[in-house]
Amino acid sequence: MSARSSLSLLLVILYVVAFAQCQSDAPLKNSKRTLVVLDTFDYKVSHSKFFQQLTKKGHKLTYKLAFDQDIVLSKYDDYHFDNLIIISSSKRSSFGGELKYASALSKFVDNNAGNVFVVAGSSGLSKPLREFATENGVGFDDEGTSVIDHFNYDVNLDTSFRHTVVACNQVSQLPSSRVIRDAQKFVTKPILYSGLAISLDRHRNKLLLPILTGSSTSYSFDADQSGTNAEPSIRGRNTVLVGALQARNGARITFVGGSEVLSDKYFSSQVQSTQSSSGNEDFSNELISWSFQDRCVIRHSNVSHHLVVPSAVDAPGYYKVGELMDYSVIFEEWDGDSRKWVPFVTDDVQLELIMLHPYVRTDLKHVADGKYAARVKVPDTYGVFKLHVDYRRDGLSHLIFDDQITIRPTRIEEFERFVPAASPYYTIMFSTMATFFVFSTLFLYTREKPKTD
Amino acid sequence: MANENIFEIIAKLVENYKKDTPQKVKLIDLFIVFTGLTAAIQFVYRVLVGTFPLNAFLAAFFTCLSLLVFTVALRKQVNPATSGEFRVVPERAFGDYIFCCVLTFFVAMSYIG
Repeated sequence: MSARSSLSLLLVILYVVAFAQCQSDAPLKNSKRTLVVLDTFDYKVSHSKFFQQLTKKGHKLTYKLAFDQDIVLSKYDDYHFDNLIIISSSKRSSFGGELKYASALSKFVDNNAGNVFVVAGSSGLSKPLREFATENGVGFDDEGTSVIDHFNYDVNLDTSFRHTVVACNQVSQLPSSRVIRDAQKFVTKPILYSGLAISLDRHRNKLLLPILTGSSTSYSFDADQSGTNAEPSIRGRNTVLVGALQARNGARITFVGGSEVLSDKYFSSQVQSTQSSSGNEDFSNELISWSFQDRCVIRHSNVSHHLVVPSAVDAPGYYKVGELMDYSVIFEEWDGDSRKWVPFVTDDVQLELIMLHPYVRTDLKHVADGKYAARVKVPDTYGVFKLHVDYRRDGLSHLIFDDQITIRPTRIEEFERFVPAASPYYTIMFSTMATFFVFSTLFLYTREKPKTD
Repeated sequence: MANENIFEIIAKLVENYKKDTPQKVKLIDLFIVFTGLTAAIQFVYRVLVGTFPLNAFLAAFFTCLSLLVFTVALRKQVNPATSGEFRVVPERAFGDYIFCCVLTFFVAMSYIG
């Protein structure tokens, strides 16, 4: 009996220790097991620098052919991989192994919060990937089309003279400044791109964000059908070349319209217009560090709220209406290079006190080391309130958290007893009583004067 | 009669009141005016300053009003012109009056603070 109880105690301790370990375990995804699914192993050669970048960032790459029947993503709901890279343009309708069903990718995102990096191959995008993209509100243009820009094309690589190798050198073409930092450097080092155009339905899906877009003169069209009058379906700034979806569980799905943008050839190409090497290597470096959650992943900790008095208890059960409260929380960002959580500093965090609708909405000011604080006067309405922080920004992982507080009304003995504002009433009360006394006395002792006339 | 103006009518009224009204009733009338004015002052103060604290206002204001009502009742029972309706001796009427007022004061004092 005692042996059994001590065993169960040991189990409990083990469990607690394991749980504590889990809590302090720094990133959401500490390991970087990455499955690379390719049409042919030729990509390993043509994209060797891209794969080197991944290895340098600590990814353990496992290569598989797309139609390999032994692709296994998970066993007993335990996933073998944290990230998935697929480069495919195959015309076959389904992949092999566990990827046979298009839903496998969605499940990988939903159940595993795994990052998916989809790249269209040199001759288009394969059908299962197209389905997966459509599920996520990402529309690739039809097979055979490509992005064309007659004003910003690269002379060296554009061997077909159809202006399908686009040079991106405008800051406005990199709209997500958190994903691709320092867009300015691509002005002198353009990003070369050729491939399909993507359209993002951002009105319906707020989780989508464009990473690299075409310039205002770009459009998507079948370059062989130059004579037709049909209008291109994707054009101008809406032409997205690289886009992403950040799922609510933090997983990031990146869509790249053409595999060339990540190829060695484009990495090392010289751009004639700016007389410099291309910016593709830097772009790819930024893109994969974001896509595989090396940065822009934030978390919160140490939520604390208490009364504004010296010896206040943390997180008291009740606040009285109108009391002053101090709220603070720590925001941290994962830094993939140093593999540490570092303070996250920004100026647009807000705190809300919500009971069905927000009663108070106030700025959380950064104090020091990622600590944000606000002094709030709790509302004059009693009830159960949420201390709600909702921080969702493009490119950052979402941070939404609540704490519950109860605001109670003033108790009967807590009201002020004698208020200066009421002094006229007190005076009148006593003067009335005094006058009443005088009146009664006079009334009793008054005699009617006898009528004289 | 027709060419008498309003001031003359009022002057006559006051004169008649002075002459015909018993001394006790005059005293009662004075007290009625006092309570009425006090109530009016409080109401003006409440409008200017606000309802807080409401309990103090209610206590003092309604004390004045109820005193006014009680005193009017006393006047009817004491004034020879109207006392015929009541079969109550003036001493009994005054006793009732005192009782009601003191009771009101108790209630109001416990409510005011």
